[in-house]
Amino acid sequence: MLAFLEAHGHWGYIYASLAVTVVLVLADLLPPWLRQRKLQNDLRARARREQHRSES
Amino acid sequence: MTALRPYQALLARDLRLAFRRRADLLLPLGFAVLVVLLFGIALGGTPERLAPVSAPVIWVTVLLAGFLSLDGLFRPDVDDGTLDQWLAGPTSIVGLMYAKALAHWLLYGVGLTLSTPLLAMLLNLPVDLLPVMLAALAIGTLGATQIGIIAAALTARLRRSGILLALIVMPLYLPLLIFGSGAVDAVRLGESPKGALLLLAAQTVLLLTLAPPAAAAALRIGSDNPP
Amino acid sequence: MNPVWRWFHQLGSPPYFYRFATRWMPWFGISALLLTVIGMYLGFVEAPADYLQGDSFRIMYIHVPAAWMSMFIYGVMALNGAIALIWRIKLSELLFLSCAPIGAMFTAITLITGMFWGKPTWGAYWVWDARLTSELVLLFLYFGVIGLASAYDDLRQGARAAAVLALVGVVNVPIIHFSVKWWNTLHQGETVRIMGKSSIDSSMLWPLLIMALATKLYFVFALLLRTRSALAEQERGKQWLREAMVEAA
Repeated sequence: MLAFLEAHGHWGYIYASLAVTVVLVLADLLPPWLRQRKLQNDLRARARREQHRSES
Repeated sequence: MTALRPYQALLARDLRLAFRRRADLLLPLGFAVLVVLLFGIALGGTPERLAPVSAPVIWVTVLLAGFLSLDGLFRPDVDDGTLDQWLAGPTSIVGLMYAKALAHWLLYGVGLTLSTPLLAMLLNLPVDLLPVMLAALAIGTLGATQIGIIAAALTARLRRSGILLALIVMPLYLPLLIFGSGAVDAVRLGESPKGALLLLAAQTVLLLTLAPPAAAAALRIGSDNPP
Repeated sequence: MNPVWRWFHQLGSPPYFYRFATRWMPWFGISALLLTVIGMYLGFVEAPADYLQGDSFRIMYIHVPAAWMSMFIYGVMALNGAIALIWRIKLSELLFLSCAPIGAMFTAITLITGMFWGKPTWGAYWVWDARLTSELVLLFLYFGVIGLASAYDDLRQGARAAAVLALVGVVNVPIIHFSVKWWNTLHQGETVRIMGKSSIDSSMLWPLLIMALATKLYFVFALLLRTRSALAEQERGKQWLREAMVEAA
């Protein structure tokens, strides 16, 4: 992998830096976003169930 | 002098307990010799290759050996409820931390420093480096103990702390290691070790003023009696 | 009461913070993204190649802002830790805990891009340069905070223990930096400068400043995102949270 980088000169290192940065940013943002979404879906589903129960 | 009695009592108790289990006291020394043995073998054992790296290897070995004793620093006190008694009692926790740190340094810091000539012999450390090595180690281990009591206090109530303790302690050891082995290096290069030793001492003094209060604050965290 | 102070006190209340975060987060996220796109375009396309380093200097536009953020976030984290310890504000504990992974991410970016920049510049991925070495130690300080906080079963206890460690770290960061620099000059003479002279052409400087602002905005965005989801987890049974989440649909 490193040999591949070195074969592409300076832009190889630049693209590698960009790729690593994107991966790390995603790893930073996705977990809290997914947690929040899961919790939100849970709460909304419960609210809907309760509404059904009170209607029927 | 009565004001100091609880701290003296703690110091005396820690020392007495340690001497009752003398085998445990020798464990860090045994560990240090083993590490040195591994290094000696890995480096090929020839004096030409050992001599230039002997001082750094001794420094790392001593720090690691001292680190091993940290896990047990507060564990007995947490387990038998002594810690909760301190926290509920009128004695200053900061004072108790000073006593605790002093006991730890006397047992391990001084102990390991005194055993350095043995390690130095195994690693072919040039004899003219030994005095500065001993001075730097005596000061540096006092500072390392202060870092150690913070880390031990932070992890005292955790069930397992081994690798976490290392993660906390090692980065903080770095400046001590730099100035400590820097002092020895200075003598090796024929310069005065004074600057490095003074910086090492300054750091240890700073740690001595800051670490016991920090450790006291850390111990209060898991307790039912917040400050 | 002074309106700024009143706003600050309000922000400490979970429902207020939750609504504040939900409202403002998109703005921070979008402006960070826009500025990043502009800064990247200017830095990676418009700016001329450096006459000494060639194209590889462009990695600077990621490396340097990330390095600034890695230290800035440590400061913000320690400040929140101090507030959490002194005034025991629950929200500060969460803000403190949320800072650590973001800071660790920026530190990791700094280290990895530094290695990719180092190879064409110095001919090696890793040199024991004072700044890179300090960054590596900083990464472990972040790991220590994260590890200690997650080792406690109780979230609040873990946060307070980690806050003590972060404050110990704040005292130590300058010492570590100074000692590493001292060590560096002792062993390798003057450090190899990665930036060259500080007189930098404005066509190269602007993208850097834009990226620095973009990372700041990103930090606020990520901090609000993390803190909001941690807050929601902590208060999951509360009525206000259900209202806020269900009405947002």
